[in-house]
Amino acid sequence: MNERTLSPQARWWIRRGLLGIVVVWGAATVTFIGMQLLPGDKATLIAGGGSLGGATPEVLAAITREYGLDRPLIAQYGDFLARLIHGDLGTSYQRGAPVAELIWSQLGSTVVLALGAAVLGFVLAVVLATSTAARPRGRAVTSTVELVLLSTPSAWVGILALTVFSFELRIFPAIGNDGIASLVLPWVTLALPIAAALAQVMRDGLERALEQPFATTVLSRGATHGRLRWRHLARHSLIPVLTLSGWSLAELLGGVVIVETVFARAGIGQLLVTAVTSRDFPVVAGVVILSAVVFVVVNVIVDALYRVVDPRLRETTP
Amino acid sequence: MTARLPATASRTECPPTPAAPRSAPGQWARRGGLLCASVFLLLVGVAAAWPGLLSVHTPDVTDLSATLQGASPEHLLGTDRLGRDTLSRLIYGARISLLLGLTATGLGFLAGLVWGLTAGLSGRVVDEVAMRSADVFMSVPSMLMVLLVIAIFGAGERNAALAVAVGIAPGFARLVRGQTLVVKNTGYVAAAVSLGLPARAVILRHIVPNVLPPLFVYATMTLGQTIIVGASLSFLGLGPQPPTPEWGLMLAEARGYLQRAPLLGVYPGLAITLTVLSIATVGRALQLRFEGRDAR
Repeated sequence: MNERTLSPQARWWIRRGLLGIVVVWGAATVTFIGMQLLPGDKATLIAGGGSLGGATPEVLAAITREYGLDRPLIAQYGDFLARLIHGDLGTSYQRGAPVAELIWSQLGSTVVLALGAAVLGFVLAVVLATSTAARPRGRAVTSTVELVLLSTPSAWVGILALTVFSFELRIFPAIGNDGIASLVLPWVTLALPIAAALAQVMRDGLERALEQPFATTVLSRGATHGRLRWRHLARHSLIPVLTLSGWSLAELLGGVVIVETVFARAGIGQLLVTAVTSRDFPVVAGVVILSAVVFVVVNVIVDALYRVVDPRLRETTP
Repeated sequence: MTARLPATASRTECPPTPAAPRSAPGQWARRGGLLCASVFLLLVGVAAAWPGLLSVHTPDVTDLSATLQGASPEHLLGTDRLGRDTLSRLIYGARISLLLGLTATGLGFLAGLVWGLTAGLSGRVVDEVAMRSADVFMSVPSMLMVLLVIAIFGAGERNAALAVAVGIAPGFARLVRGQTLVVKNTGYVAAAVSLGLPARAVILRHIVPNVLPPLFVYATMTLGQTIIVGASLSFLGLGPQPPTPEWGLMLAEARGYLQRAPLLGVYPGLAITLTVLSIATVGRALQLRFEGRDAR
């Protein structure tokens, strides 16, 4: 208001950026606090406490010095943040490798899995919503199916898919990372709950748009119902979808953990589960921080998309 | 930040459009669904409270001469890889699966209540800090937050419940805060304050009771999701440990025998899904009633 030099647009972006940084910083702080809550001596943990008899006092002392564990907590926190800014997520307790490297090596297959599932879920939702909005019979059937899908654990969907398509019909391989064929079942498993939730809100948006005067206008100009739905209403149904994007992302990232386990696929989810099981805290913290970054970035993109999809937002100041 | 509540998805589905009045058959289907859901929940409840009433066998007696059997009069749903009776394990599993969900929801509910009340009743600074930290918690997918907590405290039944509670508490906190702000500014609270009631009495007697009702509806919706997350954790091997009969764990154990005993993977998942579905159905009916939209 008093800064005349910046356009409202620029100020909006700066504000969003700062908020995003606060969120990532908060997530990092949560993991740091978590690290302090770990039971047991940290040097022993880092040395890999499980090995026969544990490490010698000399080794433990060296580790304490190297990691600065003898310094005040606030200094350790400062170090932690400084390293984080440089992209250093610490070192895995179990594997001794840098966490960033471990995550990087698994990222590709998980991104392919999650992105594919997101696209599939979205397309399924568009088809379901557009074809059943304001059509009572189709609506009744699909909304029941959607409710069932939202009440079904992904692990079970995956197991059913494996049983039917891999073991009975032998269409898709049961495990592994190679090729598109091994991706089909994981994609579908991950996409179904997202499709169900998106279809529900999309249909709602469509039905609200159908009641608006412009829908009647379009029809009175001689457009068919199909044209009305696909050309004129799609935009309206996208707004609630954007609102659910945060939920969808969380669902995707959470689902990846389950789906990768069911289908024995390598990826971030497997890395995470293994790390949680073996109490490899830096890896868990790294994945959590990374997911907060992804969440923030996606949210900024979504907020920008709102303006693209809904021109009414562009006219008013943010 | 956009809210991510699984409940919103199902909530937005409800509003009846004025254009399409609910038909009589629709009414009956709805009633019938609600009835089935209630009966099933009752059954699960009995199984959880008195499993011995429903099951013939004990859930952890192994019989290595009768492993992975199909359905028979002796074992209605067959046996698992150690020859244990599947039906009995399902029945005994109801207690742990339900308890996990209920404990987590209860803990999350309480934590969110305190969190949200603090935010809504304190000054701006505390409010801002409390709500920004809720944002932070909600910007990490709850599944990852849950795994983070388990990485700190270790796997197991109790820690799994605690972890799921941490995952859902911020959602409750937000709801409580919003509700608190509304209730705080009502006439009866102003009247209570001006009558000279001590702050504690105003909060406990006038604010909390009016904050709670919508929370119960939300808790019902959340319960289904916590049961799913709880079972998923057990599936990953991070919840209750074998040989505990638990639905998620049974699913994980079936994973290795899908070829030889495919039905073994069907029952526990069906139990989870039917339970969650029933809770959602009952929850939705509660919600409609609460919002006064049950008017026929």
